[in-house]
Amino acid sequence: MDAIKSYLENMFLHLPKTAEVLRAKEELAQMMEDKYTQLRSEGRTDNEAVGQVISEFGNLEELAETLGIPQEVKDLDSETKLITMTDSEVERYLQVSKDTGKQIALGVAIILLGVANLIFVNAIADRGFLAEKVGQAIGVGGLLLLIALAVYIFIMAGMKSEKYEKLETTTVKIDPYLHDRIAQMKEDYRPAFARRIAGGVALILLGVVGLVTVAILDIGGDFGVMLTVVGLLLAIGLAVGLFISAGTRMEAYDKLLNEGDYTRQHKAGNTLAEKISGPYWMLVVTIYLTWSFIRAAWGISWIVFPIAGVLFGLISVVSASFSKQ
Amino acid sequence: MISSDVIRGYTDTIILSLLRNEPGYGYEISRQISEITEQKYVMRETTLYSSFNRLESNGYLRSFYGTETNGKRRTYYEITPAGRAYLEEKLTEWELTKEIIEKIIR
Repeated sequence: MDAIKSYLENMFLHLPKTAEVLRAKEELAQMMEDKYTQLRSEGRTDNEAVGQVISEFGNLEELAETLGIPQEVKDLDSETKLITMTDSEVERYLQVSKDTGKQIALGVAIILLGVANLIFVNAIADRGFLAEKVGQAIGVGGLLLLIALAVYIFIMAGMKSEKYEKLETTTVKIDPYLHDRIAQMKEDYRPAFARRIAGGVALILLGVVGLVTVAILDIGGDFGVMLTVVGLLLAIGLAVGLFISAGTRMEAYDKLLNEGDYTRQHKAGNTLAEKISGPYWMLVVTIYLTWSFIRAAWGISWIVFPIAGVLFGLISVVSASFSKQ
Repeated sequence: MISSDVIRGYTDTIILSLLRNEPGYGYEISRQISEITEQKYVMRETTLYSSFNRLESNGYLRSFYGTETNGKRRTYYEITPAGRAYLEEKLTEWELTKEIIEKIIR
């Protein structure tokens, strides 16, 4: 019986929720339930009864005209704004997004590692373990090298996921059974997702607490502070890795199910934040590199990134609340 | 299984004629059609509902809620005087159609 209910749910998923449509759904559900009950009482198995009810259901096109669903909506549903995906395509997409999620997480972690290394080398140079010039060469050189490596990883990941980009702006249409299966996968992943996000947050908090403690108690002076900053950056790198890999996987489910940030409405209109994110981060990197090179301010210029991150969050929130109005 | 295209034009007539004597609900009608035709024609749920909807908005059917003994709420459909008049019209039309087609193809 549940199979019939979810079949009907999925059939009506993309229809506008008008009183007419809801009434039709309720009536159809009643008819299907009656038929199912009748078939069961005649000795049919659950599978047989469900199969027959679904095969004799009919089709939505027939209902569309009587329900007064505008022609445009039907066209939208049937052609341009829909991607139909099969089992194997969905399977492949989930695999690709899992892989690219991990790659992007790795890339971000590598950059943060580079920044951590820069600060660390500066710290030990300050202490006199290393000549200052050598320290700067290792720090800056290492950072640039790691950025190059990360950019390479980003490009590779981007190329792989490029052909799935339209899932972000287009409604996905998949078989009702497949839809159920993905919904189940998403449900199954939810606890692990929550653990990873919580773990990431805990890591960052741990880093911050460590830094504050060291700074307040003045353990090891500047050197101590710098070392804990290094620790904090490593923690952030790990945490961001967790956020990205877990987030990408969750997003992949949402994209396929047209849920969360990827409902029909969201997919139809790209938000301002999405549109500006590319140029925005390019600008941030430019500012970072310019400031660092011209003022030789490598020790402090990384502050651009956290500030830019918070600012971007602010822009997203503000633009989202504007677009809702 | 008969091609539903041929029958489609008479869906409304079939449903009105089954409701001629007493009100009925969705599955009841569908079951009667299957039984009378000895499963040679099974009306799809979407066809049935589309027809109910059309007939009701034309004023040929009236719907009301009835409660079953098990407490379940069901929508019943009842033929209206306008529905009866329309049914008579369609039945006459069917007799004529049958006669014409028979004459031509025999």
